[in-house]
Amino acid sequence: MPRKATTPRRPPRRTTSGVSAPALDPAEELCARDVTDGLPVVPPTRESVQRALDGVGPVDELIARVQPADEENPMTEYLDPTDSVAVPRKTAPRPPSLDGKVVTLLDISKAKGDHLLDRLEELLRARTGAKAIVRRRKPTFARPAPDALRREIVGATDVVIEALAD
Amino acid sequence: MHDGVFFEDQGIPTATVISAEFRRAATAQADALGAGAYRTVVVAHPIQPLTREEVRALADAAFDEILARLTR
Repeated sequence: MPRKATTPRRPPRRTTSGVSAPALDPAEELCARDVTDGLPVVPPTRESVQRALDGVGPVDELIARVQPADEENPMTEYLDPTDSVAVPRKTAPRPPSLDGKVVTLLDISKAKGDHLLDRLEELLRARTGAKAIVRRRKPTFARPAPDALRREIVGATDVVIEALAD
Repeated sequence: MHDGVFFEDQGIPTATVISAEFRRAATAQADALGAGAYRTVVVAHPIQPLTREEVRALADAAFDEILARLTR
């Protein structure tokens, strides 16, 4: 995500007595410095991770190795902090075509996702026999769609196209 | 990714379109949700600097793959 290079750094916070405040929680500190894009940034410090792990018991299952965006950094490993194994899920059965189907285009509210969805709607109308095309939008890309919206969509559609994560 | 997995659980075929930057995150999330078989449709990253026409071209390029995700 592009960073605003011109954002001025705020002066360090001071307590009302004029003495420098003790080190802030890192998440608060990053927010105070305006270096986030408004979403919470929680650095996985040794202490914070340990605190989380203490709450869930022993962890020994490696669930993923993720290459960071900076290719020069070493591979990061993620451990499953839960004591249960995710139940394998199956995808829904597919229809042979979209003929006669209701297609919901779910906009996740990221900038320019609507351009992509506008074009997909045109293509669906031109190239498929879809019965109806419904446009929905979730309030923020940062969270799953609200339950009410999810239920509404499930009750009124045959397939969903969700876009666009950038 | 959570939405897509939710809809699939409810029997609704879903195509989730992401940009390449999010491929690894999406895969990790899907695995954590037990949805390793869940496949996203990936378009070029980044989106934000693109013009409207360029974004529409991404839709053209991805359309067949989206259809393939939704049908058998």
